[in-house]
Amino acid sequence: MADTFRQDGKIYVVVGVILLIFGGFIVYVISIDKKVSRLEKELDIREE
Amino acid sequence: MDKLFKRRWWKILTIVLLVYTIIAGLLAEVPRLAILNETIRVLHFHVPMWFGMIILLTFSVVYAIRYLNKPKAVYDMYTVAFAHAGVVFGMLGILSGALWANFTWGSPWSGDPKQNGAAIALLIYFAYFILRNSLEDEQQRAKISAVYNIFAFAALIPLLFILPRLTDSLHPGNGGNPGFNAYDLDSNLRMVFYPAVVGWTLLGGWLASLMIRTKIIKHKLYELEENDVRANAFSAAQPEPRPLERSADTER
Repeated sequence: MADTFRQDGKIYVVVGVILLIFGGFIVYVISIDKKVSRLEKELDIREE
Repeated sequence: MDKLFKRRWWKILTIVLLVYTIIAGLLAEVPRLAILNETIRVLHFHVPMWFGMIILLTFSVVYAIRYLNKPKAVYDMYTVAFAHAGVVFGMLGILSGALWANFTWGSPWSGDPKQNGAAIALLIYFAYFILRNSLEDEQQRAKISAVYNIFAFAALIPLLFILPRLTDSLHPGNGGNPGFNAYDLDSNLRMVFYPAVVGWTLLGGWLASLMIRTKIIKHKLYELEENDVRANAFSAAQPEPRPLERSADTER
């Protein structure tokens, strides 16, 4: 019953939780990035 | 730089490196040292904050110099965004350092020369933002804060790299001997530490790039608004004389 996951002091759970939270932040940053890109397109801001 | 901000590859690299840092940083084999124990893993999270801060603040001062060379509004936006991201990294570095020190040096703040130096350096950069906010005129603000930024950077380097080496410090690599001494030769740590530095620094760059892009958008909107107001004023001023003329005619 998922024995390996319960071994070694369950540090994998910690890794999983941190990755999940980190992933959430990254998804948030990516969505902001996309919104900024869309605004740039609407306003026709050219790359220098 | 503007072009690079919109590229995707380095953002993917950021995510890959940081996911690797979290997994390998927590699970990889580390040297078994007294006192430090498992907290040696903090190396992959605390120290990259400082590396990242230095790199971001270097970008900031480079754009401050470029602004003074050629006063383009964009350079000022770059300077302040990189300084912002750098200071955020510095604050996280100080806080994570205090937490780490509490369990390894016995107290969150032991007045270590490097701790004090970092705190002074951060205060100098806080003053940079206060200075900016106290100036109304955009060009004046950009110019004066660019000059201040150069002085702040010039104070940062001795505070973090020179003064702590002149006295004894609890930080490894200080008090005479540069380098990482205890973990210097451990390749296991290096395999995670270097990617961690690159990953965290890129994350700071990503956040700074978003800030710069929103500032450019704001600038553009302001310009459009300005043009709108001017166009409205013009069109409002134009048809006005006709009814006056006509009324003058009918009166006669």
